[in-house]
Amino acid sequence: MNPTRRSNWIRTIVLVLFCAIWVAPILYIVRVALTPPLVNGADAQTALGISLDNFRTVFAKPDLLHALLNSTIIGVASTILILLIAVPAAFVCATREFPGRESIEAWILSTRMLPAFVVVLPYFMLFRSVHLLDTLQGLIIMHVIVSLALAFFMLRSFFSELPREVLEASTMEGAGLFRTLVSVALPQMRAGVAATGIMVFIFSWNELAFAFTLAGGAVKTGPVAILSFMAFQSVQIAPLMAAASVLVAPIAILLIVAQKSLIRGLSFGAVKA
Amino acid sequence: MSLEANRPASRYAAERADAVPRRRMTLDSVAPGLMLAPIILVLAALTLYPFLANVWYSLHARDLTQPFDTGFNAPRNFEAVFEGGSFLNSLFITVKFVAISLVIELVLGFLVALALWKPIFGSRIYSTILILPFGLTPVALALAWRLLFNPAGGGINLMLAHFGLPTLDWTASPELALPSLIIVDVWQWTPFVTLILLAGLVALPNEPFEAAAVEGAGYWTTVLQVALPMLRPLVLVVILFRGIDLFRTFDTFWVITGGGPGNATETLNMLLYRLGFQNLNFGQASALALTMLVIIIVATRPLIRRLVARRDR
Repeated sequence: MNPTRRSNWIRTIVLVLFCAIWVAPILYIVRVALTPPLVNGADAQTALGISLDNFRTVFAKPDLLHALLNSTIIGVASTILILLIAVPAAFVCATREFPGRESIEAWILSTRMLPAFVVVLPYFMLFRSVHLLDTLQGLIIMHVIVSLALAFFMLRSFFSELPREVLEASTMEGAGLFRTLVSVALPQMRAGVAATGIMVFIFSWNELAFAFTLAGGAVKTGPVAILSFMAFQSVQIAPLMAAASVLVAPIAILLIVAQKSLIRGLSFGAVKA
Repeated sequence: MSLEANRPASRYAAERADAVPRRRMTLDSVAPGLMLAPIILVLAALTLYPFLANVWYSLHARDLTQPFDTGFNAPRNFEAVFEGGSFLNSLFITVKFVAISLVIELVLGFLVALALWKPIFGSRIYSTILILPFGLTPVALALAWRLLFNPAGGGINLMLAHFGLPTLDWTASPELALPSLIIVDVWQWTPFVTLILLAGLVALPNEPFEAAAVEGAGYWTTVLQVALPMLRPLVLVVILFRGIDLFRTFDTFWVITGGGPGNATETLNMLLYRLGFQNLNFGQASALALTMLVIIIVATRPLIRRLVARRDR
């Protein structure tokens, strides 16, 4: 099974080909976004040259910036709330054995199976009667619900890597469970908690179904704003792709930062890659 | 310790001194409960409330265009969902989409994982490229695919024409719309399957492969008869998570075809959206939502059972 020179060549060709095809649509976004102003209805997809003009067009109107600000507020607020709720729960489940632990975990896992609109329908009616439709607060609440299970299982898999001796030493010194979490576990798991926070933020930023149905009028998130942008700019694809690259740029950076924990998060801790 | 401040002070000093360690033990024994309480509350809000509300709505008339008609209406909501063929049509489209995408993603994902398995020059660059399709904002990527698929001058047809190949109608034709969306999903999620299976391959023990080498087994025999059986638990994880996500896919369908042309790509999820948010008939939408829940539970139960059973061992 040791790689020979010939098999290395075959593998490299497979990988280069695969990655080239797979990165092409992303390069397409960037390429179209960078097309110079077009003369006489030329095609943005085949135009030559590079210019930042489309980004100026996109930022000239406040819509997109405003939506990105909304997305940031919702993302940060829901991430903080999720960590506050999920960190203690994940810590207990990772370090203690108690009756009902498996049922609670299965319950949390089951929320991963719900189609968004099964949850959206009742919350639409509820939000309508308590005036949370089309508000930042309403979307923050919904985004807590979107990624809670992901955060729980990701944190649980990090906490289960804590050495037993460290936890036992803390208990021997008389620290309670909460104290152990705050002064022993959290300082050691800083990177894991940060990675979880980044994942949760990404999911809030990328989310469409809730942001689109429970808000989307006065309060638009990035993905919703770009869709309404499409409706107005149906012919001008270059500014549309410029807006798309602005929307994905921060996520690309976060993804590369949290690259190592991405698979662990998306597989709900089943894979500790 | 703040809990103690709220308690009435004990009248017996001696007993109190005695009780300190015991009280600490009781505080510690309720600590897990206190730390789990918030997540349980949120879970109830997330699962129990929507479930009960969906049951309630599905039993009543809840047409937002007729706000004063809210009487008991159970059979009619379910009848309306099942008659007219749109449910069966959507079920068929959903099953086709889930099954075909899942098979392609598993096979292709496994092959690319094999190529990345043993150390190779540039593997970090490959892995970084592979996280982008499923990590970046789906709406932005779906918009790009919508432009690429555009029959009149979209990127893919431009390229086909450039090489002298016949151009296709892609998302505009009822026959090719669903295959186009399968292409998008395969593009978006095959790298995810690759990275999960790759993590599994890298973690496999060496001995079975050494034994296979001694017996003179070839590359593909070793892969299929030694590596693949050991990856079974991970393949189950992939099938479960991908299957559920394929069943729930919304963003790409909404951005690229909107369920059309006609209802050629109207999956159950898109049908649910149409009933609820375009027809504003929450009674019928809830009836469909409950039906979808039953489908999910029935379809995922054997898989979840196997996963739990594996954990117990």
